[in-house]
Amino acid sequence: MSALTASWSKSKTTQRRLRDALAYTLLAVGFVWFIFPLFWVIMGSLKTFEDFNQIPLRIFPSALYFGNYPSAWTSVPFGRYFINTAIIVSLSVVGELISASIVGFGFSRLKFWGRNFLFMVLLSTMMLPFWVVIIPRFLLYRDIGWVGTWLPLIVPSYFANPVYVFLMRQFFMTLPPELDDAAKIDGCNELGIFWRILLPLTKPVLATIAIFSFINVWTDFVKQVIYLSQDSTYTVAIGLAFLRWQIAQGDPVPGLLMAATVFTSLPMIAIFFIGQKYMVRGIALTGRTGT
Amino acid sequence: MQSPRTVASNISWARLRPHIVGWAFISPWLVSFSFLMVYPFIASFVLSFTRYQLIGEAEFIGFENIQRMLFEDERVTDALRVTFTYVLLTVPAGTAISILVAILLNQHVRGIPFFRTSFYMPSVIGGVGLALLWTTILAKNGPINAALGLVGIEGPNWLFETAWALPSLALKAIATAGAAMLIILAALQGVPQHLYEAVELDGGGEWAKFWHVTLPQISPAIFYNVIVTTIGVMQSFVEAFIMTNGGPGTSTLFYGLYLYRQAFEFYRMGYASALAWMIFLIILALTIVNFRIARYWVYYEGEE
Repeated sequence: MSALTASWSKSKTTQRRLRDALAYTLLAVGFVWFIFPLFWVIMGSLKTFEDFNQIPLRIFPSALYFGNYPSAWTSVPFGRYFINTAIIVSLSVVGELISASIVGFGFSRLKFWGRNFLFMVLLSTMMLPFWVVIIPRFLLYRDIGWVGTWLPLIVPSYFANPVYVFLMRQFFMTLPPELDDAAKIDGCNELGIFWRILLPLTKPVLATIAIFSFINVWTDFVKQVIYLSQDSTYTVAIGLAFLRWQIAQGDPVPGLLMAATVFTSLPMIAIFFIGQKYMVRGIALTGRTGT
Repeated sequence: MQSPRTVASNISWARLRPHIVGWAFISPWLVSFSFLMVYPFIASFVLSFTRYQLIGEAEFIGFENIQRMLFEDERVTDALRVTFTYVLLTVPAGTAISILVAILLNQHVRGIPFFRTSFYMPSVIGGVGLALLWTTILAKNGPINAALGLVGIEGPNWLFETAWALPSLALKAIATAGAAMLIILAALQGVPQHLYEAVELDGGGEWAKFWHVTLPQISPAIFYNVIVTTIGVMQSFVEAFIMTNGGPGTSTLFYGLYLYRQAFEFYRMGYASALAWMIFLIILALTIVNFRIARYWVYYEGEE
């Protein structure tokens, strides 16, 4: 009897071990599949031109060569583009945080005519294709003299992105309504409830929005390329695209392009490691990454 | 004693106040909704019936743009074919892989947070950077061809051969779908444990658990992903713009790229607006079809 149970539990652990082994094998395959491109580009950024033409292809550079980085940095004025992008991104993030929290508060903690209907409308605009609104927006910005400036990239952030409003609302809904009632009894008006009672509790969700909007604005190449037209206003993404076209036109230094890819990706990777927890939570809560 | 008039105005103020305050709080969104959504949405419809090259006045030309778009402009047919093919190449395969990877990341083995991080991280690079990263992976003398060389296959010049350019972009899209993976992972973690126990009591194995519990439970998340990625992929632009410039020939001429060129390289604002409305209607139709099909495979709690 005891022998039987022993062999049964043994086969159970064997089964368990097999499962784990399979899981680790697949995880390792996935790891290579997802991480290899990044690894490749980092290695490539440290290779000399000759390294790329060797057969068989080398994974590691023959010697660590850092020359690609300064050449990439100066081949396009990346210094200025980084400053430009940082200004655009930080002003946008502030706008997204302020407007999404105010509007999200309205849609979740206040009762007013048309609230549910308007919220449905807000949700449905999340599905509206970008291309169907871009041309009149461009013409509108041109008529008020904003095309060629950063304003079309920054100002809309102050008027509530539906995805972030949705995220804010979902979070506000989880806070107990007694908080508002208690504050009301103490003589707080809506603004007071929002600012003093609820907003301090929303720090995690504000972090999520800050990270999403940071990444989305930084990488929003389409809008940048449509609205910007002078070198002094260009962004990192436009600089990268320039480098790509230079190389496509017969200046083949793959290492240079790879070095530029690495240093322009660093802000994203840094923010990802800082705020991973908040991103994962935000994606789980809304099913979106803020676009 | 208050006069009846003051009382009346007090009452109406007291009744109106919450509504006014509510609308005041959502007013930032009302502004962007009106000026950046409703107005452009209608304006692009009106522009579709005009010729407008950015200078002078828009000239009303009736159905000329629509006729050209539907019957005369072969590039539109190319762009639609490319875009639909791209959707078919990326959405089903991307969804299947996201599900498989999410299930893998939901296993209870050590080191899962590390794997989750490394699987998702590349997708945050996004935009031009990610497109360039994949340009180097798909280069003629890049690592994919080196790996194929090890098994004796001579790989093509992926991004510069008509037959391979679009599948290459699809491969890039599938390999960087980190968000979809996390959405499904979140759904997996929300599946109630007692359902699995019920299957065990009925003597069901792993397969029964997957088929009768996991899949129905995560089907709303899968459906949501299919909707969002289909809408997103239909509008793709950066990959083609950076990696292939629509070529070779028209083999990667995404609809978004063609529309961009018409609008912002040739400044045909009227024609581009017609193109924009057509893709809007196509996306709308696809979404409706998706919702119809969803009745047959998406499971919602409390429904029979």
